[in-house]
Amino acid sequence: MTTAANPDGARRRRWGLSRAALAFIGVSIWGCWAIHSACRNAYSSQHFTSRQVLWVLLGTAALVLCAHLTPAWYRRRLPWLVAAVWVPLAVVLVLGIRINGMRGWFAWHGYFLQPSELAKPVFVLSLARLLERHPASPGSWRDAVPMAALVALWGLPIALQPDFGSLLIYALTAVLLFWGFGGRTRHLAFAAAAVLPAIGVVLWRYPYVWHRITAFLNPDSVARSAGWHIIQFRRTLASGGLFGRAWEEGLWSRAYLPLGHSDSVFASTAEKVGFVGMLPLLFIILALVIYGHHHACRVQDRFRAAVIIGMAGMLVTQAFVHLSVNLGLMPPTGITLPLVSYGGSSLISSMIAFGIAEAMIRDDPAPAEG
Amino acid sequence: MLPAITPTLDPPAPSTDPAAVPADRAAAPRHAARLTILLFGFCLWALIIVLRLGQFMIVDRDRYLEAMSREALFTGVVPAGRGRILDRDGRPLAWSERVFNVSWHLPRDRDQAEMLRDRLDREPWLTAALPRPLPEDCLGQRLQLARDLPAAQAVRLEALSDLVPGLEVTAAFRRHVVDDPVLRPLIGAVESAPDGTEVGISGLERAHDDILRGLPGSFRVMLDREGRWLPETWRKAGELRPGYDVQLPLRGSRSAEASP
Repeated sequence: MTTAANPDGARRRRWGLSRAALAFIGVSIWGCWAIHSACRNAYSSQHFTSRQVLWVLLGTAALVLCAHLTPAWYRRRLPWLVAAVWVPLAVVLVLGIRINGMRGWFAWHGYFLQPSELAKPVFVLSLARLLERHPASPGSWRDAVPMAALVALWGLPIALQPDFGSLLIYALTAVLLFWGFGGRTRHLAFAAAAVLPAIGVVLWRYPYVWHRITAFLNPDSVARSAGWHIIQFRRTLASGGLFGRAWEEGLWSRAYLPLGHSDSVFASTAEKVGFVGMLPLLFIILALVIYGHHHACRVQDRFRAAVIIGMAGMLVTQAFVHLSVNLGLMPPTGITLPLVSYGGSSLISSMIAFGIAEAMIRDDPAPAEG
Repeated sequence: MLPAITPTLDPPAPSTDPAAVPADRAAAPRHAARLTILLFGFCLWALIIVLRLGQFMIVDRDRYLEAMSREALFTGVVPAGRGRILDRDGRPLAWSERVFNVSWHLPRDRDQAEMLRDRLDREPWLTAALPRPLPEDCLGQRLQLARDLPAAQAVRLEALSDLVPGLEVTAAFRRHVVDDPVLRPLIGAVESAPDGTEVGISGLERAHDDILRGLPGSFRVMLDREGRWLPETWRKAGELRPGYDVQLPLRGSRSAEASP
């Protein structure tokens, strides 16, 4: 596609960022306000807000950089990128610190790095590369087995942390790409059957997972323990009502809702801006997947299409899982809302993912390599 | 209608063998169709989210608010000022002074407690007795920081209470009786009820208790998970009526002239 046929592409080259990227950055800035409001009084809001602003700046720089690299560059450097993010995933099991029973962070002078977040964009790149290398017989076992092996390679260190929330996002992203690019439903059913024993082991080894599931089914029966978080989600949302309370008056979320700045940021923000105020955010999330679908159906090669739909699908899946947990549609799990929740690893990872998708969307005259 | 994947820029040489057609091109419409199905899946998920959001924030809202009020709202009593006992010239023989007690319900989290303590240090007299660092057994407990503060000093804490969750300033009364050995037994004594109301237990204080006592007011405040007040939620719920003065047909002694 030529530049003349794609005026938006020309505009992007001149200004550096597309309107979608600017909107993406805008949501992250809005997230800083949400965090400032969620942390008011309870902790030092300045501490969280100033750090989140720093992550937004770093993330924006990462987005710009990733958007200006070519698809060929990503193809060539993929082994190095995989090594750069997979090795920390393994090393964190030994040298990482344990928070809430999960050994998933490196800590350095009060700053934390979560390798499983930063690995997400590279995971999508590796899936896309595999889909590109196995196009001859889409839907065959020859296509499905390497895919399953790749998912296991990435999923194993995350399961050992154990970070089941992130593992769920990795798995859903893989399913989305596999099925979206020709994989057979029968193979997915086989994969699900193969994973069942592992789920049984997890339930036996980590009883809290089972408690969360039972609390999800009947939160009132364990209202003071495992059901507490679910009940507070509902009450926080009810407190917001149609138009919400004033921006700084999220009383219920501040007093009762745990992790109002990270894993519960959707509910705590909904209390302030109300049902009407949350609709634009939902629309933006949905617009991201529409944007990804639109471009994935237009780009020229399978790798780029898979990366675009993979990045958009992964971000939107994570956002919808976060929303579903906050709305009691899924058992509680520690999943952040991309761009809005507090956390540098999550935010920078989301920015990188969007930057890579932008690089694939850009009008790239260079022929695809290998 | 959503566009399908466009052909590549450099198509390979045409071939009559179907197996030689690049799979990317051959399967492109199918992928576009699948991606569209996925898109509809996401749209459906979004619709479910909106409906669920509406259920909690609009449809079932009142039911949840009722349960929240029942569990999180605390209704307290504001004791009414007790009326004075005056002699026939209008000089007070017994009167009440409003004083304030300050307590702090510490959070369980040590870092947060120490941070809030730093804010409290803006009034050093308030935290002078608190050891640094805070002892482990204090965390999550309610500590009495000051008693019987005059109103002028208590007003200075108003701004601080917004910054320090759990800081509670409660009003109380202290009864004074004229320093006269003859009148003291005649006037009698009061004691404080649990809600802070002064109740006459002997002498004229008891005889005229109905007139002197007044009607207490009430307030409502929201509590956080640890039972601490959220100061900005404090609302007056019931109006208080101070007690009436009682004037006696007797003259106080010279020593009573020093009273207010």
